[in-house]
Amino acid sequence: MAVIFMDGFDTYATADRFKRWTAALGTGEAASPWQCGPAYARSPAGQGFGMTTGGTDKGIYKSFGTNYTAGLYGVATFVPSGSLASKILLTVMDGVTEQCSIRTNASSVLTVTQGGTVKATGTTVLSAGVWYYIEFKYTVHQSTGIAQVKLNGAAEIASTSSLDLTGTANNYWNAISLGDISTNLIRYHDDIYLLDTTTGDNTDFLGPVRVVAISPSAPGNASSWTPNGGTNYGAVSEQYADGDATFNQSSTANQIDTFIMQDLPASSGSVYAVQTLLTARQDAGAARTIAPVLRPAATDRVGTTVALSASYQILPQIYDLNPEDSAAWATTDVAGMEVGYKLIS
Amino acid sequence: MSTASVTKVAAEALLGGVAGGVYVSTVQLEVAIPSITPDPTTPTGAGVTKVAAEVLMTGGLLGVHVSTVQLEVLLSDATPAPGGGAPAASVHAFGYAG
Repeated sequence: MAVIFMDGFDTYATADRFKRWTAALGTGEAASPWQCGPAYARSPAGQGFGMTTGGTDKGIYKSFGTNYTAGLYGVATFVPSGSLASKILLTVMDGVTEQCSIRTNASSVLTVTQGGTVKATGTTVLSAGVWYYIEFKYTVHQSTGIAQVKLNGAAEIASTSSLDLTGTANNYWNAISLGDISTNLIRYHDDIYLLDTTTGDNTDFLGPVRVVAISPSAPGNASSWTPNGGTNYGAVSEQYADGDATFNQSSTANQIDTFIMQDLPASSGSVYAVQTLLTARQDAGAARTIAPVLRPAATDRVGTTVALSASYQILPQIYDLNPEDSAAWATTDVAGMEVGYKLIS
Repeated sequence: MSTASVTKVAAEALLGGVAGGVYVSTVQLEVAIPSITPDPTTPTGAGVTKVAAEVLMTGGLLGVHVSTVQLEVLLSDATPAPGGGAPAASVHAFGYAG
């Protein structure tokens, strides 16, 4: 796997942001949280993720629990008004300590920095009121670090090597943040992807991307679980998870539900990866496990088994390749595919 | 062949007004006790106030709930719609979220 994280911010409400992100970075976030909403979305639709008030200590971060030596962080970024000068936009971290960052300098130009020291500088002056797609490719190392930046798919900072891109004693990263523990500016983000560039099938710049969310729209091949009312697909097709208001339930191992999904946008471009998102929980009692199911053709392709807790969690699973043929995805693969889940135990 | 011979037979009998022997074959005792009428306010028998049972068994395997299923698709941004954005959803009111 090379895509290790992706988020279009379209599938959850603000209150559930820490079901996809790990925690706030600093204490300021609690008072004025990052917001999920249409007002912060990159055109044409859906939701984005907005820091809607400035101030300090207002970062939010995602921890992966795995150490990576290199990566690629892509995100759409928009500053609605004011100056972009001398701001931290994106940070790559070891724990919650900066390894390297993308910041703007006093001229509102992108730079690669470590601990405030500029390591490489771009050329484009950024402006408020414009969406930019920023991609930062990096190798975290104390002496052989490498950084490269693209802006809207075009070269902005050429690959620069022999850098110290560490703020800790470790030559790796395991978390990323939006904003950080410092003065932040009001900004919106959308369509994030993050790669481990050392392995798998997506290991280099993808260019500007969109993360599109689709939900069940009709019954699929199997409807074994029991809805608490209505139909199986109707119980799990809401945009925001509604908890125990509508759900499907099973206590029988090997029971499967799969669903026909909404259509992708017409004339969609290349598909780099898909991610299942199950919002699930178990009743009290012995531990239960579940797995996502993709059904690209006539066979259920059962994903990796995951444990459940007594409260609802969002359970993501990313597929760089189509499990039907272990080849790259085509839009037609996604269009004809059912998605669901299986009770493993 | 051998033979048995009895040389003497004697019997003594003391006769007179003396009571004969007593044999006690069974001892029983009958006791008369007063009759008791149960009083519900002062029970005299055993009382049971709670019955409980503990059962040692395998952990209860209760159910799993799935509230939402969604698929996120990582797409290239190569096909803008008129106006600059990606196309809107073709069939669903919920639309696609970009």
